[in-house]
Amino acid sequence: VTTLPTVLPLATASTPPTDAIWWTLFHYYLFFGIAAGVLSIGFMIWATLAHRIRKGQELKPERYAYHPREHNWGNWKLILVLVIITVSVQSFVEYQTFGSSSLVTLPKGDPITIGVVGRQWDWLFVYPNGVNVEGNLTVPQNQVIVLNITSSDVFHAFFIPALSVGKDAVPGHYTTVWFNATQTGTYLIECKELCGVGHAYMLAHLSVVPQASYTEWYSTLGENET
Amino acid sequence: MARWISRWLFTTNHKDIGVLYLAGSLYFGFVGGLLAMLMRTQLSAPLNDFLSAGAYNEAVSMHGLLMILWFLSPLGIAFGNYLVPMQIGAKDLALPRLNALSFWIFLFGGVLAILAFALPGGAANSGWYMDQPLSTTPYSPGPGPTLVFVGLAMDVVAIMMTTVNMLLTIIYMRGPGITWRRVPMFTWFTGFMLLQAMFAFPSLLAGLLLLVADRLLGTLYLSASSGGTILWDNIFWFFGHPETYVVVLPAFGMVAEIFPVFAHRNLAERNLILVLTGAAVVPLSYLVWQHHMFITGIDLSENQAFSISTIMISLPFDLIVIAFIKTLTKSHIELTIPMLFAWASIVIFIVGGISGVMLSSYVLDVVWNGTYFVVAHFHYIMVGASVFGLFAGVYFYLPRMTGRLFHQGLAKAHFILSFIFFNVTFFPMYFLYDMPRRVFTYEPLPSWATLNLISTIGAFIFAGAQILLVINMYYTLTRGVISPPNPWRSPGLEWVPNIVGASNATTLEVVLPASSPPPAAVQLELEHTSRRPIQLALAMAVTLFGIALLTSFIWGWIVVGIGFILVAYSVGGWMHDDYLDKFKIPPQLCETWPFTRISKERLGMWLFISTEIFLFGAVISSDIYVRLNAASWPAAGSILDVMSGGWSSLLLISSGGAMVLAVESIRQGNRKGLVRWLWGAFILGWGFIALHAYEWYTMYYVDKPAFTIFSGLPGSIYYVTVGLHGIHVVSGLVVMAFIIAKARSGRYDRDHHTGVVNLMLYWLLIDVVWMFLFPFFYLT
Repeated sequence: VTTLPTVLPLATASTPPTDAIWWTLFHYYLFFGIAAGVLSIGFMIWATLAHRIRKGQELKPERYAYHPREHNWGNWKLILVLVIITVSVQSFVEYQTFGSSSLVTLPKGDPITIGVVGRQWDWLFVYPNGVNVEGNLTVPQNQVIVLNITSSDVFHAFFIPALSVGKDAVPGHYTTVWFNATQTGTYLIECKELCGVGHAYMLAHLSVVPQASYTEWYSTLGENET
Repeated sequence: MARWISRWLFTTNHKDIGVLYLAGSLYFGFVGGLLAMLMRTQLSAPLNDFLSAGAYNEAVSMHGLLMILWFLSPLGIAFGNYLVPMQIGAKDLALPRLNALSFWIFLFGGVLAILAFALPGGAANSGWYMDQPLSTTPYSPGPGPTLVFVGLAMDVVAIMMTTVNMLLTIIYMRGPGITWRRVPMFTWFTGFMLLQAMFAFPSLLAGLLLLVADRLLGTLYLSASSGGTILWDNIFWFFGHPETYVVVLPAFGMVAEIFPVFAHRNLAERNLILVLTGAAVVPLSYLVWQHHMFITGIDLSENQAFSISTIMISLPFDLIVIAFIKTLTKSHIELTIPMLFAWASIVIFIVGGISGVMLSSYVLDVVWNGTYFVVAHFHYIMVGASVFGLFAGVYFYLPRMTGRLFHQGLAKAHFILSFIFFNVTFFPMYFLYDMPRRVFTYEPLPSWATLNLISTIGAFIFAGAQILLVINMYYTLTRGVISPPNPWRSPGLEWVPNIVGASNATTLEVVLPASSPPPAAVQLELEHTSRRPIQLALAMAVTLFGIALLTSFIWGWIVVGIGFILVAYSVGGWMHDDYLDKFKIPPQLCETWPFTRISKERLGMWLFISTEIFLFGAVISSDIYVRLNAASWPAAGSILDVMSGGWSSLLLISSGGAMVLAVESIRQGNRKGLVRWLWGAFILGWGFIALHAYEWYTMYYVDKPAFTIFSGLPGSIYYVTVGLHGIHVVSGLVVMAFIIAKARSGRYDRDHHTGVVNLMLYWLLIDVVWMFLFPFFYLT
């Protein structure tokens, strides 16, 4: 029987900096996606039903004769313009998101930099004082945390679903990601890249604790380890 | 019966091979489907222990590989084989024996990959994109994964050969009156697909060569502690993204054939579709690959560029879909089975395409990358758009292939069940956007459990429904009502019986074992058969099987030995056939612009050379990448002897010069000169090989410390790259021996010497590649 580490309850509420942008974009895409889908598929269904040949109905070959070499450019310019407008708007929105996105620039302040090492099959967190902690990332609330991610063996991907924070862990390379958790709680950290038989178990906890408890915890960090 | 079997084994007829491809790809699709059922059973409930993690990883990896590279791509090629020559009024593909060879290599490659399940180490278990260094020996040991990778390399080689062959056919062998403007849509789309394949597959082949070298020879391309991962990611996705279009374009071509027939009107915006696909989809597909690597930590401005290029590529697809929908207006639609499948293909493509546009956003992709949202998206494209489109083609052309009508009720049930339960299987996966892909089990979260269970139920009914197709095909073959020659009243050339003679006889008698002697037309076709393609493909498979075993079993050497004997036998046999002019294909009908002045064989050679350039290009780029990533590198001249390298370069280049002079001689009708210069090129070529052998021997056994393939990165990349070049030189020399024999017996004259010219082109390619390798390894 397989057993998984208990990671319950999964926290749900969190407002990391990327989230607002993420949801705005998501809603934008969802709205236009559903609109485009409903319109085009709806039109297809309508056209098909409206033009289908019912039982007993005769074809009018003279009207619908097939002319293999009749090349018709038709009314495509209008459609082309519409599509170009849509794509441009989309590109513009994407560009704007990039410009304003906190993904690009770190917020001011003094971040805590923590190293993350993925390995088959757990996560190792290296704190600024050099102490390694396995499987549990403890961070203070309302504090910018910068993660320097790498892997000691194969390709992994570090991911905190609740905070929309993710980056690949590539052997021999360092990738950087940051977040600012505003609510205390325990969150799930998972690996998103197939990395061998232990892939599904490659989980860790993120504990977001109040500043005071973090300071206390951090001061004793390393003492228990021998 | 014996005749029936030997006919199918030795055929070189494009229609037979099309049918073989159809059967072969459906078989691999069946195996891939079984693996999917295992996976869905495992995922149906949280914390399930039906499959172990290792078994699940094998299932998920092999499902992806089999479905994409042995089911979907060859299914498109099946129709390409069957239809393209008929649609353009050619008698056959340009190189029928090569076509047969491609099929058997594809088939045996797949068999090797499936055999891997039974070997130690199991089948590939690192996902269909074979992440590095997970696929290298330290993390996936054993001969099993190696066997999958060599099987895959065979499949890739087969597709590359078909690419050259079919492009050549489309460019060169169009019948009288088939101008580019009149080339039918399916042929156009097959052509676009081939253009994608021509540049994408050599990159994968190069990657696989490096991977197999790492696994067997212990080189350090991909297993290097730094850089291997990113190197592979770039190689793989440069192939991977165009490959998705390789899968989708034939289905679009099929829809473009079927919509006008059953909507009883012209395809709307035909030119627009063609221009967009040719001028936008094909080139853009090479500019979007890094969107698969958004969170790999590549430069942010690069991310931005690739995000925009990905949005851009949705534009031509938008317009193509709009054109297809427009075809349904002002129409009179017959909702036949092929029409329903084609229609469903577009509907599903719209859903999959919209989710693809959502994924093109970098910010959204950070969260969705590697989750079931992506799984849902590409299954909507690959299973939905592609399989439904190609199944439309199966039903559309079944009467053409068998001469009989299929069972309507079964087909309708197949369509309804497939359409409904495809969506039941994959739509819930969009809502699993927070569940990582490829985990073999998951926590008991209620939402995940419910959605997975729904998906599993859908998958079982969807897969079960596919059995109806097989039953229906069997029914059609054995009990179907005899079909009129053109049951759908399609205007396509492929429906006109006997339009260009023998090749287009109805296949009814061809498919079934004939009890009575076949009609004259079929008899004629039976004549151009050859035993060599299947022999050579089998020989390759045996050799590669042995090579994959070498790391674990000493008796692998025996298998390799047997393989070499078989290769020698079949290559010798092939040349023997050629020497005696045993294999004759009917003379071709016409030659058309713009290649009237270039012979068919020579154009084929140029296409082959372009794929070779991409192969060497990918290998040399990998070398450069490895070198730039390395902390230190030995100085020029410190290991490799510049003098020795200089002498071998001189030998190879003079050999090239001798080849040019050989061609010059025969152009002036000088047969003796031809033989003399060929001998010169031959001896100089072997001189090059001998000098290399001496150099390698010195570096291995005399030099202290020895410079070997295992002695670090410089050794690895030197021996693999120069070895690959050396294999090309030796193969060229084998062919040269054959050409010399033919030249001596006076087979070439002033007007007929394409073989010599082709050899020269190949030989010059070898020279040019060496001119890159020599400075790279010896002088810098």
